[in-house]
Amino acid sequence: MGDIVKLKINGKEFEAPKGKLLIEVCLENGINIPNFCYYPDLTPQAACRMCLVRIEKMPKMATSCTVEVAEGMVVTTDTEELKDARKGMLDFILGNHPLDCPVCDKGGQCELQNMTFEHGTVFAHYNVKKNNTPEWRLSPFIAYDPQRCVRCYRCIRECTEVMDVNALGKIFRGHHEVIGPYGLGMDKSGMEKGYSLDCEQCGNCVEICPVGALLSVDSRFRSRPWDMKETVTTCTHCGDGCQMNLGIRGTNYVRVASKDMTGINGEFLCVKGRYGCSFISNPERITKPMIRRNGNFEAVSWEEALKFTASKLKEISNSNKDAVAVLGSPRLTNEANFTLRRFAKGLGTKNVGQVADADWDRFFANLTAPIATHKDVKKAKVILMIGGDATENHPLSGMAIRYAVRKRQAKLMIVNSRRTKIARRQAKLFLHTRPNAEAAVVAALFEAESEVSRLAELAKVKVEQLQKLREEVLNSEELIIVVGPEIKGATLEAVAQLAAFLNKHKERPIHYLPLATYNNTVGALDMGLLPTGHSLMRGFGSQIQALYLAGSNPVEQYGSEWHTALKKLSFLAVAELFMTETAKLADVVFPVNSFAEQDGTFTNNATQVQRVNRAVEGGGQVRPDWMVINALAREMHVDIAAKGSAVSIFRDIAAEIPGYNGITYERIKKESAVQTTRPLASAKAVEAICQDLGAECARIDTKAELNKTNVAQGEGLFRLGTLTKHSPVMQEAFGKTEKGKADTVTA
Amino acid sequence: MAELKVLTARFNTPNSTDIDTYLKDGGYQAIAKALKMTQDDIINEVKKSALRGRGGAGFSAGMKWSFVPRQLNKPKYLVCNADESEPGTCKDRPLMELDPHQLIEGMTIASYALGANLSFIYIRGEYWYLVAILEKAIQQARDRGYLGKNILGSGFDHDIIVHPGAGAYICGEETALLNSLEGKRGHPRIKPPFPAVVGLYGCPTVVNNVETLAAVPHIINKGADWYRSLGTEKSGGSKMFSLSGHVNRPGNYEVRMGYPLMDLINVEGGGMRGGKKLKAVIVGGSSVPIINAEDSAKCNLDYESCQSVGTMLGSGGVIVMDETVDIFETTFNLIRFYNHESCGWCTPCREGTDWLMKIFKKIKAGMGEESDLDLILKLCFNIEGRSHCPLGEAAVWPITSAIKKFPEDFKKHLRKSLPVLSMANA
Amino acid sequence: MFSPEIEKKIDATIAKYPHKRSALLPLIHIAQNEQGQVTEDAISYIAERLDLTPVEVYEVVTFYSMYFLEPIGKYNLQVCRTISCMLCGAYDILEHLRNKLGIKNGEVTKDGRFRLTEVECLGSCSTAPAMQVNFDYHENLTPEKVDQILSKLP
Repeated sequence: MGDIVKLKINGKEFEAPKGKLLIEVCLENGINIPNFCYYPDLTPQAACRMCLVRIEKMPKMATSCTVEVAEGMVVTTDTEELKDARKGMLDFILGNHPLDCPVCDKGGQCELQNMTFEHGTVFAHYNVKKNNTPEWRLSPFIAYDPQRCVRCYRCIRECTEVMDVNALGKIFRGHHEVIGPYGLGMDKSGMEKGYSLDCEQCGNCVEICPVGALLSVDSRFRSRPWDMKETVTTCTHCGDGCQMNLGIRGTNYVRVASKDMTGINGEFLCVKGRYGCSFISNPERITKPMIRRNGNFEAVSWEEALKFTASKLKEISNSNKDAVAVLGSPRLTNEANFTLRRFAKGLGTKNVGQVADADWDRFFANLTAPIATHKDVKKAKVILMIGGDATENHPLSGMAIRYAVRKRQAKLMIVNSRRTKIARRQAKLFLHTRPNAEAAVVAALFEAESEVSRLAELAKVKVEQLQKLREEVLNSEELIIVVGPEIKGATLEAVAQLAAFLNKHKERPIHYLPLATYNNTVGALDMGLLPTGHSLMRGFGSQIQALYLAGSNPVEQYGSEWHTALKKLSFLAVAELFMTETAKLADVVFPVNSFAEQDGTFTNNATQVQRVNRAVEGGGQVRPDWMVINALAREMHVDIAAKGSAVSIFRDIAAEIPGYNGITYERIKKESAVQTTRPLASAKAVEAICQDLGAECARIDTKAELNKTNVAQGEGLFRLGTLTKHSPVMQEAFGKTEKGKADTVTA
Repeated sequence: MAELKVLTARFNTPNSTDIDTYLKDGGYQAIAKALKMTQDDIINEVKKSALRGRGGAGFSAGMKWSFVPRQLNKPKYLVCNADESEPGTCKDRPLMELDPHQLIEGMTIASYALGANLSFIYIRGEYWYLVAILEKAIQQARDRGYLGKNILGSGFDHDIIVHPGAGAYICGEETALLNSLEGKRGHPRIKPPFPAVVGLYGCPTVVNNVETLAAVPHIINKGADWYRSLGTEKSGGSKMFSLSGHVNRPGNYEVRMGYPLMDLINVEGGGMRGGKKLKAVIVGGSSVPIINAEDSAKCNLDYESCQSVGTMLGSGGVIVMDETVDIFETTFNLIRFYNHESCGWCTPCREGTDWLMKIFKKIKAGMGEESDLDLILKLCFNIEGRSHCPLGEAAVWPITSAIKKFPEDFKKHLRKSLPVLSMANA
Repeated sequence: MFSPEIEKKIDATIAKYPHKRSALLPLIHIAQNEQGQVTEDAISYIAERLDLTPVEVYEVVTFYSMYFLEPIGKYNLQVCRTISCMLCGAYDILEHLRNKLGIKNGEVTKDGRFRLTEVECLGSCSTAPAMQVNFDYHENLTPEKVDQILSKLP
């Protein structure tokens, strides 16, 4: 693809693909070009004028961020004239800059500081009064200091091009121009009357700001950048598994940033990742083991708690091994879930699993094509998305899909019963079905053409639309199939079989991306924890008398049914971070480490294994989940081949779990994310698939009307979960709102 | 021979805006003729006429038209730039006010040559009253079949939308104008691509000044050679000049290209007001370098002659200043203008005009020092050739030329540098 | 939010353009001419009509000098201050108006009748000095002529 051209820069020959931006060619070849407004993948601006170069045959200096390289181009970047131009430009930028670096959060990580140091003058020429502008709080998360702003418009482009939110704009004209949301400056007294940044609060504008103009409110004045220790780790808030830099000062949380750029997400994070991790330093964390005595919890020693638990479990297990159940969680590390699984095996109980309500086990059992990484999605040409709301619940997947549409003009086709934002704004084809009627659309992909109109009616979509979808999918040259967590049962199995069905007609590269809900949904399944929680719950108090429950809060998540069931148990042990509604019912509560305080791995929805790294020591007497299990097993004299560290547990995982062979911590460190391999299922007979789908279709409520309400911004992002509700800034912003209503569907 | 009546020929005709009057005066014959020509023939004719853009840049109109990829399977657009905002320039206003059909006919011919079926008149919002005049004329043209579907049975469709701006000098820059027309802020776009290839809504677009388009019917009617012969070899035809400032008869005058500047002032303008002496002239609207009386005497009104005395013909806004004028004050007036009108997009223009304005304020307050003049020149140097669009240059040329040509007017505002306190005094 | 007649005008304006966003500037004019300023309600309304976010409308409103976010009084006296008018006495006209009305640039008289707005070149250079009262041009001004114009306003 693309021709290679030869060009000369500073007298040296270089080769580059034709049409590539000159600045990119220079930077890639180690030729330093200062810049503010240039940013990879964002539209060129030519605004900051820092990147001026000389190009032969051009009358004026040219901005290298807008010029595409061409054959025979002769460029100079280092003449006195250009150095002088850069000095002059920095003089202009620094003119009205407050130079308040000593109290600026960005000090030390500031591109303007670095640029001035390298390209600026030593003396300031600005001999007139600076323009003073007040600082504005744009939202509970984001503040803006216009005087520090260099007007590079990165933030605006991030907000419009990458996020498709359009909440930030340029306000006023000329030297009065500021960056801001709607209403900024409308009220002359400033923004005192309230926040007005109506957006997803992702904070990517803060991340991308080269200076200290856009700032995160929750970490302001908390630490100089060099004063905190930053650890790269994996986000705990959804299945995408973004990499983040967790900044800790002493033992306290300071901020999350994504400056690293090496992870699967580059600089991207969402509101939960960026602002939802301060729960780790919340003083409400459980710090000591507790035993309930006479209805009240008493803090006890680990020894006592373990002994008590061991004796209880043993007592019940001795009468009937299956009377003890062990439930892990899609929130825990692979190491923890693996150890739990071993523990259950050691106890000899068949009642082991996790509390979850998606059918991803059925999906993976029927999978007929490999899984796509987010990087693959970004390069996609055709995307079929069935169910799911990536923008709200899988922000990185949403960003990757939008990227493909924006940069590759990908054909995005969406089947959904709800009017999600991505469907409304990005889809080339949006099949808006009646509630729970996706099965009919999926069936239309397998069935004969003669069935299409009947199925369209069933799904309440237009026949032409369904026809078009069929054509586009059947004839696609390549395809990525994204499937949401609400797609279940035979429909989900059929989706997983679709690749094999399509490839029978015509071989083509097909990949899947399952939008698994939690940070380690896939890993928990891989570790052998099937979503059996709900069915086991029905046996509480009868076949099952004792439960060891780690990292789940089903009482808040699923309500009274669980509450009643858990109360029927003779013994309940819960390992948790906070005293959840579920933990309150326990006989014993073990305080465990959050993701930030331990080593381990998560497997994301693209089935990539990524590291969880200890960023901070756990306070009090908290332990990792696996360590608690090890100790309990020892106390019970149950042999689980216990390992004494996360790394050695992972070695066992790599040896035992199919698909994890060959993965080591070292390799993950090197590659950041390592995709697991998974066996592909054989293709089922079309007739069988159609029959199963037929049964699903028969369940469609044909009286149900279309849900015409648009999915509101923040429906998923702003909902507080078990962890995020303990993040002070999230609580302040969303605690009292309708959207924020505590609900543990999300972490 | 002084004034020439080509574009302005009908200005004194009673009821000149009415289509019947226009037809009686021979109007809409050019379009009939043009529709029988090929698109290339029209473009070549306009090229041959040496008609150069009357908005300020002076680029060959025919060349501009020829850059449009007509074979491209996208709509093409013609946009008439009626955002007349260059200080000193008010010539497009009477062209629209007194002879709208001349413009409509010119636009229709241009659109036919470009393969455009829809064109726009982007008119500055302040000319609100002209919108009604233009829309009435457009409706008349539609009713008579000079606009709309199948014009004069040729199969060519064309319509015009009048689009008011809302107060922004920068929208006179063609790409800022296109952004504004698309409902955005008027920031200039990155060039290339040029509008002729990627313009309005991403489609090939030609943006021409009102006066440029108004000349087109005459070129078609009477031929390129005739038109060219009115002016000089390189700058064909006649041009309108807005004469303002200290003359006895300020006004819009149409003269041949190459007409002596002093004749315009003394003959058309009736000489200096109050018999005062000429001090300075800005020839082409406020953005061009100012010249003194001596250079004015050598200056003819064409692109080349203006260049030879260190200025530019620009948009033809001739601002005449007599001996009583303090050039510092007029320059301050202009930097305030450019500071107010800078769009804010690029660093040097946004920050530079603000900084310059502050220094001028300081000097005006009597606090200026010799070094401030050096700093002004240094800042101007840092803006010139480094800004995103020509507004940066437009802002600094008046300043650098004024300081160069009239240094005394600046120096008299400066205070003596404060004596440096020696240690002994301290 | 507007009268049926204005709504009709808005519909027609949007329909005119190949891309509806182009109707943004004309629509803001229509709203301002109706309401005497650009109101928050008008911004939300226009944003909705053109499928834009409010900030996309607000960006445009704050860019152009003819749009006003605060009430502009019954008569907006927009006096040109740029070079040609300046040479012909614009500063005197401004001084005269400031003294006569007791307001500075950008202020509105207490009775809400007049706003004084210094504007840049109005394109009346050959008929300088000039001012616009709302959309009406008044040229070749002298202080006396200004008095007459103001006294004749209803």
